[in-house]
Amino acid sequence: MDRTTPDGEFVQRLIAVQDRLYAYIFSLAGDTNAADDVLQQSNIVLWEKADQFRPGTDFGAWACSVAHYEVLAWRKKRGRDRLLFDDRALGQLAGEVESFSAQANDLRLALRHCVELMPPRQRKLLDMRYVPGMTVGKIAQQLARSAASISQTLYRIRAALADCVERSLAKEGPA
Amino acid sequence: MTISPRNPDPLHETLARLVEGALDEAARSELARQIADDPETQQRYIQFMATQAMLEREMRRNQSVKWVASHGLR
Repeated sequence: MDRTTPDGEFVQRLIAVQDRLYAYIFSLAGDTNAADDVLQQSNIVLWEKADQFRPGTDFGAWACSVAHYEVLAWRKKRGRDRLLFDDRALGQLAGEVESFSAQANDLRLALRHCVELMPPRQRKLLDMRYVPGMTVGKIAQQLARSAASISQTLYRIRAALADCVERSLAKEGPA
Repeated sequence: MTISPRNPDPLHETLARLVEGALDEAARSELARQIADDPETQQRYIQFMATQAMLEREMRRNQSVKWVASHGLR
């Protein structure tokens, strides 16, 4: 089969859909570490299947359908005992996750707003958590606190951000 | 609107533990059951996970920008 190199428009679309794809994969896998690997593999497959995309159709939905198979492949490798959802629940969830992931842009804006509202100390802690290689233990050491207390604060920061985003999106209503 | 980590929503706190990899097996099973059985919990799970995914991407972008700024571009 003759395969042509994806054009610039395809590349633009692929770049634009990365956040949405990551959210889709992350929600179905329920696992932070897996999401990067599955996203990378999905991008490879999308690139290889570029000629199968039909212009004029929803690129994001097509990309999610490809990523769905990559999530299934990851689940197979992972083994049942360490998965959050069984196959039936995953099937139920996939369609809902895909349609919600289309709101990625609204969600990003709401999140940015909520991060700006965070008290500086919490914001600093969140920043530290995302420094490459910065574990909870290292943060605890730097801030002279226990690892358990850092973890507890991080749970609460994540929960507070989610509360804020939920309120923010509810206020705006459906797009 | 203010944002305070005090008194977070219990479901959000459980999901935060899941994201941080700190949920034990029994709690994970119970959470998965709730998500499968209750449409509202399912919606809130989806929104929470999408928010965390976006946070992950945004914070990593910020880290990259800081790295470039601190190392300079020649």
